[in-house]
Amino acid sequence: MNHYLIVCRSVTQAQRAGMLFSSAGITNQVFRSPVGLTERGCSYSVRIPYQQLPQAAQLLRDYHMKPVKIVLQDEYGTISEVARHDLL
Amino acid sequence: MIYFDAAATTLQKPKAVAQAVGAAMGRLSSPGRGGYPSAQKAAQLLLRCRMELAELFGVSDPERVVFTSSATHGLNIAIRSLVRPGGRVVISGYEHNAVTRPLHGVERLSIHMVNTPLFDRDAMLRGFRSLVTPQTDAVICTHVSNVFGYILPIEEIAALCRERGVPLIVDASQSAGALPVRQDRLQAAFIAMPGHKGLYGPQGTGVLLCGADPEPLFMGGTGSNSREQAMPPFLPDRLEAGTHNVPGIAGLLAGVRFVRSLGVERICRHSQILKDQLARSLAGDPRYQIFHTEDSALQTGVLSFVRRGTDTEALGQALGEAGFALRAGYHCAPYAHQTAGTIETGTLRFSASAFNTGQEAEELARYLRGR
Repeated sequence: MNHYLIVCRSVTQAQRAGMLFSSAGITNQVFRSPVGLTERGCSYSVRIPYQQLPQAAQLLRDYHMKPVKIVLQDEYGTISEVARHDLL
Repeated sequence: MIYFDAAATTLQKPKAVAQAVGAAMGRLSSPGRGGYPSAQKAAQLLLRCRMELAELFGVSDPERVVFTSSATHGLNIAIRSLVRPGGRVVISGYEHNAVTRPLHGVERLSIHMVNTPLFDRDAMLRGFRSLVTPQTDAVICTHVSNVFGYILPIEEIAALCRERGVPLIVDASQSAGALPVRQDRLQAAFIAMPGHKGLYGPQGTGVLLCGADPEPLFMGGTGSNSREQAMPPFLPDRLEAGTHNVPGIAGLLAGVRFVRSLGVERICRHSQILKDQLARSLAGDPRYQIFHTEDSALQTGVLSFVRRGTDTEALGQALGEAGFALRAGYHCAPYAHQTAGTIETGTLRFSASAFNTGQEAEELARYLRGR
């Protein structure tokens, strides 16, 4: 099943995003970003279901939270970056 | 022992504080250092604490709430961020060494001090108005004198700083948890506070509220941007190198919840009532000089006094032996004593917490009168 990974700059931002999503009923999981997802080293990501990205992006906008990037991960694990300007 | 040194550390804490510290010791590891449950739960705890502190202090973004080891640590960060060699700062005459010593270490710094009488807010404001210029690097001001409990006109000083475009650093060591402190009203560059005084957390905890972009004091691992050698540019990571004091922050969160459940105004009023009770008891005794006002807008639950002809430290020692814990001496604030005229003697300082009672204050008064 496809899902989005919201790559955050810090564990604080990721936990905060996860908390906001949970309070809005968006299923999510905060976890360590896969190596190679960012060029800068360690980070945390929030995994959300494919269909809930618009709602999640709206929440991030409302709270002025800018993630490092958002990527789509398909059922085979293939990752493709989503253009940020389309969402945030 | 009856403890009246809350201005140094609140010794009596809510039971939940020690319980939270113990629970964290056994269950929580390092935030930002792993994806496993004990690390994730530690990160969640830190975030909850940041969020509750942000609500209590009017900070819109909890990521700008930074954990420090003490107010002194936070003040050092703030000063390092804003004060440059050869620069100019304006401070009140009631500052603690936590402010004046870091300033002393800045080369060629021009320090302008507003020396005005105790409890005279108008004079203090006039002093700041005459000294704060657009060329001032920063104004650094305590919200409450740790020696005298004097509540400085911090909102008016903040307004002056905004008007003149000068960053303000607030030392909220004596006001956090004891008086309303709101970053959304002050719009300060930085507000530094301890966790172990009015917030009832453990020693070794502190908080820095960042309105401005800070320079780190310590550098090291943050669990983020690990491939880069520069410290991350974003908060809170920029200022939180190294492993967090997770048990301490767990205790701090419990303390903050205690303060929020009682209400800052209620805690303040309680300690002011005890302070007034002691002051009235000593007021008629000519052997004592007390530094007191009954105006609740001017003094918290801290009361300094001197027994004429008696060494302050000796009286403090005698009080300790009689079962009363009060601090004697200069309270790490020599300039405050210079300003108030007590530099030759120092003072004894009574400072009450939410756990003290009127009966305890009466026992102290009886001892002092009967001695």
